[in-house]
Amino acid sequence: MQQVNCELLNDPFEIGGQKLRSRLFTGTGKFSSHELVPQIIEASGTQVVTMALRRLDWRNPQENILNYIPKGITLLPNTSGARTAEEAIRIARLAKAAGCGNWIKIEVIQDQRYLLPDNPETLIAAEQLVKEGFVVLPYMSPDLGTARRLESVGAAAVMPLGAPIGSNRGLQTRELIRILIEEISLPIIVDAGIGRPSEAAEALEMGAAAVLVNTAIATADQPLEMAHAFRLAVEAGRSAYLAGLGARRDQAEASSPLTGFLREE
Amino acid sequence: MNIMINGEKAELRDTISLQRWVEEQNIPHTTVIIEYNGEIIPEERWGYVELKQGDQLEILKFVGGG
Repeated sequence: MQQVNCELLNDPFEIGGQKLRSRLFTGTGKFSSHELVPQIIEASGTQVVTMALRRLDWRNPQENILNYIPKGITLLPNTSGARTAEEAIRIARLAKAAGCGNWIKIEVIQDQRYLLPDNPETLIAAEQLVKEGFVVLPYMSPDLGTARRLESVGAAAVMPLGAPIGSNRGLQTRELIRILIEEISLPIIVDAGIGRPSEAAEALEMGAAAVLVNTAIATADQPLEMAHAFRLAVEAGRSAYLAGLGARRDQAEASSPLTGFLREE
Repeated sequence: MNIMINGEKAELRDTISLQRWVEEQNIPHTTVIIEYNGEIIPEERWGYVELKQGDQLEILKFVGGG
């Protein structure tokens, strides 16, 4: 019997010179307690987690999320709250100064209703932060022109949204993401909007390098079980992509032979 | 004297170093980032910064986020 090729099912990918086995990035927002964070990281198998930078309530300092992230996990601080490239650059520098490493998820948002990213400002911030030695992962609206420019200025990946942040609406931008996967040689990491494990699996089946999930896990009735479900879905989706999906057809094509029927003709 | 901390006015009784002020507030050292008048100050330099009238401090920390 032929064995399943485990090499095929366990293929790392590389970002910023780092090899990653897990294709599930997880966010740390919206969890009911900090104590859940390390458990979520374990259940999801994630190797990269995001976090945000905010003003400290200095009269009543609370614990820092970093204390709950196990060693060996790559930190991907975001620039959430930035409305311009300049603000994003400032946040990125602060995050680096805090000893968080040099990865940064650029997030520049002016629209408060849909929290859609501002691509031109994102590009400006990306170009500058690459020059400063950051490993730049920009959250972006899935636009091919912008993705090409991000690639040419040295971004390490592009992170198109599937649907608005926190909406759990899935791959609404599927067709545009498909084009990015086809045309851009950088890893495509679908960020925002993924609400169900099946949607994460679909992104990986399409050839996305990874997905970033936060709300879907954090707002599930059982976050730990959901983190595990996403882990399985991402592995399934990647395996399916590598195995090569069969062709789609509009009409039926019988799976059983169309000869030797037990009937009179 | 008055300084601005995270966008709010705060009153300090005496001249004090940033290091000392952080200690007095019981702010956990390892987890905050401080910007003093727009410049990031690494922890080893906190002792050399004397807070004075009109200074602006931003004290930041990491929180959960996506």
